[in-house]
Amino acid sequence: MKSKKQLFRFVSGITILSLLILVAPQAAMAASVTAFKDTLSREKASTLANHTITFTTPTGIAASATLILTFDNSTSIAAALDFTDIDLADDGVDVTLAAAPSGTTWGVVRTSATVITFTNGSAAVAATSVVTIEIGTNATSQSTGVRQITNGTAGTTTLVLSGTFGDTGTAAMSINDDDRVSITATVSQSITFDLDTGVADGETTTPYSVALGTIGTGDVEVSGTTDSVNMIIAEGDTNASGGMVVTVSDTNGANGMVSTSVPADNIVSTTGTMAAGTENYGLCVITVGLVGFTIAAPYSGNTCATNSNTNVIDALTTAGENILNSGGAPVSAGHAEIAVNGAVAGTTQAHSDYTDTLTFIATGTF
Amino acid sequence: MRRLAFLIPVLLFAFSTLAFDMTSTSFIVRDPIIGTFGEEWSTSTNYGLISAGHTTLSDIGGTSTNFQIRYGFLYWEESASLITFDIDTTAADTCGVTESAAPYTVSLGTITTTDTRVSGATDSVNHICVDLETRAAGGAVVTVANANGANGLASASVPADDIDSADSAVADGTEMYGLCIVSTSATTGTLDDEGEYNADTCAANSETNDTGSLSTSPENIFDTNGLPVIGGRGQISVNVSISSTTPAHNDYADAITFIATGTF
Repeated sequence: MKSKKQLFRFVSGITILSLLILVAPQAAMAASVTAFKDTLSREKASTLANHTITFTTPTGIAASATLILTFDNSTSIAAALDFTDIDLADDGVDVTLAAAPSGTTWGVVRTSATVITFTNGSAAVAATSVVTIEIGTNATSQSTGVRQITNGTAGTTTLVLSGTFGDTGTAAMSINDDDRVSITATVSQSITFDLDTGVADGETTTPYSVALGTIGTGDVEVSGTTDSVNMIIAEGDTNASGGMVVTVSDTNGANGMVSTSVPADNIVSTTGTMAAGTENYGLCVITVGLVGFTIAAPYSGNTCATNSNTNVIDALTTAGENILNSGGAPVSAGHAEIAVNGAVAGTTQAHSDYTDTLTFIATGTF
Repeated sequence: MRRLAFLIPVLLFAFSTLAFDMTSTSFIVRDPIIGTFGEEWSTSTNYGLISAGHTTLSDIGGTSTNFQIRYGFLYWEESASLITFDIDTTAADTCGVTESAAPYTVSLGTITTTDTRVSGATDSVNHICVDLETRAAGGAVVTVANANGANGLASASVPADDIDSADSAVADGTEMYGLCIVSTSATTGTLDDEGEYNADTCAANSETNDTGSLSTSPENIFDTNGLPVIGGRGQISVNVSISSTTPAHNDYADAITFIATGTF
């Protein structure tokens, strides 16, 4: 009877032990993390990259537990990479990291060129929490990271999650010969400039001319319908990066309009306000109708309108001066109307052959 | 009884210690499991029929000229942790079959106000092709980001001069630069256009394509609807048009980065 009891105890004990041994490994098997991914900033082989790793831990991370990241495929973690290059967030809330755990502070160590080990402090991460780990210059919680991880060779690479916290997981990333496409293009240079003349806006053909007619001391001859004197219309387009500048020069400089038959006789060109009985000749830019262009110095700020006998003009020169520009930028459908003004004094010599020639030059800065 | 008591645990432990893996270059038969005490009992030239039960662990089962039977579980390569992603470029409408090597480039050539430049054989401008394959349970997402953001194509010599990128259509005389998706396909699963690129009007050689605006922050351009995908392919058109005030330069450039991320 006693021997049967002993045998029963022996068999029972062995059986229970056997079952425990069989069952025990299953109980110790780690849970798999879910929604595990590692988003890289670059996927080119042998290239520095930031990593953003996220996963949901079914088990949670107990106090003092370790969480280990193991990269493969020749991935190389910078030797100096430390906790200052890393952020870890529990359900979106960054935890404090340091070289070693202390209190609620986590410890982070670059264990090797392919392994980073986190050790939790005293605050457990709850089960089903979402853990986010940022490594590289994207880590900005305590400080902005400066060191990154160098991708391995082209091919599939994996990140294995392990540690005493109990959960495991493997995420794969594709490392490629290149992850970038270079795009290039050319825009050819273009510039167009055109002159027209007329008492009103419109397209005209060469030769461009402005007849001031007969000038008396009692009247200023000026562009417009009143005196039937043409305006000079300037139009320009350019895609020059630095825009367009238009200069004007004349044949006679400050001598202005010169008699063909007696070249010493002239109607001077000086800066000032036109007035009947005061000898002067020159240009001003009509502010109305100015599109795309800006009036350039020395013509800027001058009062100027069609049919006005009191326009303010600038002296003409043979060297040429800026009269219009496009503000240092490309211009489309630039349009300006320029008034020609002439007045004589009582001593201005009588001639029927006063002339001058104006030259407009448009220059683009590409 | 003592013998029986000893035999029970021995039987329970024995299999896990004696089994060995059978491997080849493409698969592993791990921890082969054996039937219980049987024999091969019928053969012919082309097959062997095995009885229910066989004694030796990892032993060869029935054999013939053409095959051999072994017991065990078949473990394929660990496909769940795989993702492959590849970029190619081609002007032809052949992203489905084209393979090209890095560096990947798209030269848009010379753009004028009367000639919008787009991917396709007409302008000899490359498409960008992407190949994506993953068995990640949560599928994969492909993002796109560019170097210059909304400034699009920027002149290398005068960086302030650019061809803007916006969510709009290209058109002669209108400054616009961006991407659109010509087509997507997959042999298993789905590769979908996403975000700003979803359902935009887009075709090879079309000079009225509707582009998505580019950003320096990665934005989704493809996804797999949260599921694995096999043989996923996407064909992307690069599009640009200029206005009369787009500054002239021969060094407009941008760099577009594509990143594929699987969720496992």
